[in-house]
Amino acid sequence: MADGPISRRNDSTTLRLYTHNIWCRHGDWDDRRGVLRDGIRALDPHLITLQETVVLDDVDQVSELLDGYHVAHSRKRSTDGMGISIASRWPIADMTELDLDVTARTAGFPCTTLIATIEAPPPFGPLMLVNHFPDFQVDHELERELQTALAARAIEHRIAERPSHVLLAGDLDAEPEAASLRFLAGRQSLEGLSVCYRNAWDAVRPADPCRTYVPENPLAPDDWPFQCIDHIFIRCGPHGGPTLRIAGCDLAFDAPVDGVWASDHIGLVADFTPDDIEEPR
Amino acid sequence: MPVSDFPSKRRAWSGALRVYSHNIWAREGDWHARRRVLTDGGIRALDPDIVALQKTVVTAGYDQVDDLLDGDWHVAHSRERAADGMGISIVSRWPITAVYEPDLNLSPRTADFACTALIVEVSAPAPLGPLVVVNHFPDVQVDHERERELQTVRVVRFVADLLAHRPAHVLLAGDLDAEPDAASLRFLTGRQSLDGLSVCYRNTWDAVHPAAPGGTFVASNPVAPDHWPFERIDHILIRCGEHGGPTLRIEGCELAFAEPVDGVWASNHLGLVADFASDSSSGPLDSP
Repeated sequence: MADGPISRRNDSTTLRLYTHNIWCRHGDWDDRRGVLRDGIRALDPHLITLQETVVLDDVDQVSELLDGYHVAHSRKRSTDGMGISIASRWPIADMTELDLDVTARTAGFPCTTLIATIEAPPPFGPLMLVNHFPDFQVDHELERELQTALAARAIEHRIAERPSHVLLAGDLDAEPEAASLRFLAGRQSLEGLSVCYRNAWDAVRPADPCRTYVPENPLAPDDWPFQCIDHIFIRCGPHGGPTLRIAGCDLAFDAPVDGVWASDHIGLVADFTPDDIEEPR
Repeated sequence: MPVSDFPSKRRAWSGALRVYSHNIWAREGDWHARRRVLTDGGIRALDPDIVALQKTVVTAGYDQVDDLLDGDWHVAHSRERAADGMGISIVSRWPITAVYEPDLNLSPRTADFACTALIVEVSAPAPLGPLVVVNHFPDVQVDHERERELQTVRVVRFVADLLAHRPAHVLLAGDLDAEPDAASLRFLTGRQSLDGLSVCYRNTWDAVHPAAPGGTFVASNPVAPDHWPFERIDHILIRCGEHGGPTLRIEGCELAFAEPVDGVWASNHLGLVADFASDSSSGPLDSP
C-alpha cells in the first residue's frame, strides 16, 4: 500500500487527501476496522472523504476509525444509516448538502454531495472540499450525468462568490470515459455547462488505469463492468492547470493485511503542494 | 483464430450457451468459395446455439440461411430488406416464440439502407431461458452516427418494454457499424445517456480481452475496404442485471473466420463468437 514517494506525508507544505468507500460494516467489520484504523493513522491525511459510512442514533462508524479530526456527516442516509462523511484536521467552517434526487430512479439510494468549507491555513486555504456520491447502479449514467452537472454548477456558484481551491473526491461509480467523468475532466459539456477538473491519478500515472473496484479483491463482485470508479479531482484555474500542484496519487489499502481486505473498494490518496503559478482565483 | 482451433463448447453441460454473430456480405465476391468456408468446418464446427447474421439474402426463390445451415434450426428473417433481398436473420437451436422488428427508419437519411433490428424471444431451457435475442443492424454510413444513436435508443427502449412484462436474459449482437467509443456504443455500455435514457450492457469482448483491439472490419482482410475509418464494429453484448454484472456469466469471446482458408476469406467482416454460462456467480434476473 502506497509504498511509493507518498507513503508518508513529508512536510507541512504538503496537503494529503484520502478517499475511500468503506463498505459500511459489511463483512468482518471488527477485522476491517483494525486494518483501516492503523492504515489511516499511517497515511496521516489532512482531509478525508468517506463513502458508505454508517451513522445511527447510537453508531458513528467514522468515530470508530479516526482520532483528532473534525467530522461532518451527510443527513441523507439509507434506512440502515448508510451515507457519506467528511473529516478534516482543520475546522469545517460550513457544509452544504445537495439534493441529488434528479429523476424518479434515484429513490432507494442515498445519493448525495457534501460541499464543505475547510479553514485550512495558507497556502491551502481558502479550500472547498467536495464528497460526491452519485447513483451507483450500472445503468444509471443518466443520473450520474445530471447529478455531477448539478454539483459542478453549485460549486461554480460558490467559487464566483468566494474563490478557493476545490478538491472533489469520492466513489463516482463511473470510469474516466463515462460522460459524467468526461464532463468533470473538461472533455464534454453537460446540461449547458462545462468545467475542468484535473484527475489527480491521470496527472501522476497517465499510463495506468486507476483500478479501485477489482475482482482480485474477494470482497468485490467479480463481474462489475466498471473498475476505475473512485477518483480525486482538483479544479483547474484560469491559467489552465490545477490551483495546487498534484505531487502524488496512489492507491491505498490495495492489498490485504494479514489476510484482511480493508473494504470492497480500494482507497485513493493524493498529495498537493502550493503552486507558485497562481493564487486560487 | 482458425475455427478448427476454437475451444469446444462444453456441450455436455446444458448450462453453456454459444452465440455467433457475422455479417456474411450477402453473396458478394466469390460466394461459392465463401460458402464452403462458412459451412465446411466452419459454422458446423463452431456449433453455436444462437446465430445473428447480417446481410443475409432472402428472396422469393432463395434463402441464404438455408444455404448455409443444415439441421434442425429455428429461423427468423427481417421483413425489412433491400431490393436485392439483403437483410438480417436470427437462427436458434431452440424455438423462437415471438419475433419483433421495430422500425429503424428514424430520419430521412435512413431510406437507402435496410437498417433494422430483429428482436426474438427464444424458449431456451432454464436457466438460460427466458432469453431475448437482438440482432441490431443500424445505419452503415460512416457519417450516420446520429442515426445509429436514434436507432440504438429505439431498440433498447423496445427491449426495456418487453422486460417490463417478463424478465429475461438479453443478448444483443450484430454489425453495429460503430466502435466502442462512438456514442451509440457508449450508450449501450453505460458510459453515457442518450435521449434521457441510460442502460448498461456488457461488451463480451471487453470482458475477456480488455486490452486487445478486436477489429472485425479490418484492412488486412483483402475483401474489406482499406480506408474504412472504423474497424471494431461487430459486437456481442449482454444486458447487466440489478446486481451490476451481466445476467449470464461471460465465459469467452473470440473472433471467428479471422483468417483465410485455402486463400478464401469467409466474408468482408470477421465473425464473433461468445460463450455464456448460467451459474451461481451470475446474477438473478430482475424482478418484473
